[in-house]
Amino acid sequence: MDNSNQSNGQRAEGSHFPENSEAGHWRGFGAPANSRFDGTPGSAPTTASSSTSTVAVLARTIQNEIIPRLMMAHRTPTECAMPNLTLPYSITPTDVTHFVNLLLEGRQAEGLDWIDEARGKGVSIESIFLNLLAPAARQLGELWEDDERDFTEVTLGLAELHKILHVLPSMSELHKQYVPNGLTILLMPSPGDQHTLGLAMVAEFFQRDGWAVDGGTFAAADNPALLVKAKRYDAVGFSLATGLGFNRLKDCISAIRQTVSPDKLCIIVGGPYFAANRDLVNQVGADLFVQDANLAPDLVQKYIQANA
Amino acid sequence: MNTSFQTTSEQSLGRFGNAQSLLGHLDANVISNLITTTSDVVLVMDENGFIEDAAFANQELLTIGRAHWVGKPWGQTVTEESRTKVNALLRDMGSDKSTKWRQLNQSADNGTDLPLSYSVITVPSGKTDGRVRALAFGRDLRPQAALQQKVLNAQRAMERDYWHLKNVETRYRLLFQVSSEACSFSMQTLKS
Repeated sequence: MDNSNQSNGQRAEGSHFPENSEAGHWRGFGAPANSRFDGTPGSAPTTASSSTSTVAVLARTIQNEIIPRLMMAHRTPTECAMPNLTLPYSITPTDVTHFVNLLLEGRQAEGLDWIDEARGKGVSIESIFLNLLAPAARQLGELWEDDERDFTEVTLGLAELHKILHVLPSMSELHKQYVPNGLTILLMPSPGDQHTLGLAMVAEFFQRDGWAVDGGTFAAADNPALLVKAKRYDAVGFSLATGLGFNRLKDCISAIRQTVSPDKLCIIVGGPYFAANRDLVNQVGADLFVQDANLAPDLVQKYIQANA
Repeated sequence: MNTSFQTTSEQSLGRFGNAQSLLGHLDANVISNLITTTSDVVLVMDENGFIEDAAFANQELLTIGRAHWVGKPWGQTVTEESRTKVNALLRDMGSDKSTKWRQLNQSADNGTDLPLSYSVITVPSGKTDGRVRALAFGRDLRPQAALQQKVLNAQRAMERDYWHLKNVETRYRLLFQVSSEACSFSMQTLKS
């Protein structure tokens, strides 16, 4: 790039990209021949025609090459970019029943199509988790409780829900504002507990909010007391589905407390059992009970900051 | 309700067409054998749901059941989440039809639970003591439960892989986001 080009480039930077005028901004790229690049009196370089041509090329390059790249680099995810001109679709109990039936009938592909369609209607991924997948898991459990379906069918249905979780885009991927907050949580099922779908979903919410998440649904065989000894965690979370595992969880939390002092590790519990027995949260030795997965990361972070 | 068997005119799905002539002459011992043979566990209960007697298809179930179930209310022998099911089964007693099959977990002494599927049928009051009783027929679901556990284990192994993959993705997406420098990765980096 020669000096004349540079000179024009500086002028362009100073005067031709009005900060408060989008129209001027776009007009400059849309019609370079009519813009001030087109030979301003008094400051035009000596080789006005070649300079104009160079500037036009530069403008075209910016328009065709740079702007699209900037847009690609800074594009917002679909759900942020779409203004809520209409209210997003609300998932109904009938939808959940329909979705559960698709899972039980082995029509998972149709289930995924349904989710895609709902997302197309503005349903957020959080809503899919909280208003479709979580109620679907509960409904599968109820079908076993009422003996409408046997446990093999329900187990397979739940396995399908796990698979769907994997296929859906992760929240941290969809939300580009993902910024690590420097906090690490270990999420585990209660010892002996087989119900892990809720845990897998909670993990998504923590990751979305910038937490590093260890553990996971497969961690049932691992010993949490050893894990917290081996690595520093800010929080440990357990889910408990039924009262059968209460004493085992209590012993496990007690073992963790012996390893790490309570002021250095926040222990949280969640799951259907504690939702029905809030008074047992203290008894099991936990610091916090979390019910709403969407709010859980913020709640735990505030607790940690307050107790720091 | 006069009989737990139906006559030809009352024949319905899953019942003998001519029960009276085929089975009417059988004495208690033969009926006892028949009942025991058809199920893995048979519990005899009084009208309040107390287990008065039990028959078992194999020695293992006999050892567990005889020692821990007989003489107790049925509801006390099952795990907490199965109590509602026992109550529902007992509530359904009183008709001459068997209740629907319900899967529940019955406690064993070693801390493990036995998955069993039960259906209950009410037996009319006998001449001996005039009390109405119920028979609970149980099917041992342990083989299916073992298969189910294998499915869960396989699923857990996949979860582990998925979790690892996701962590790697998150880590590198973040790196790409914050870095303005060109990066190169070796397979060894990705494995770490």
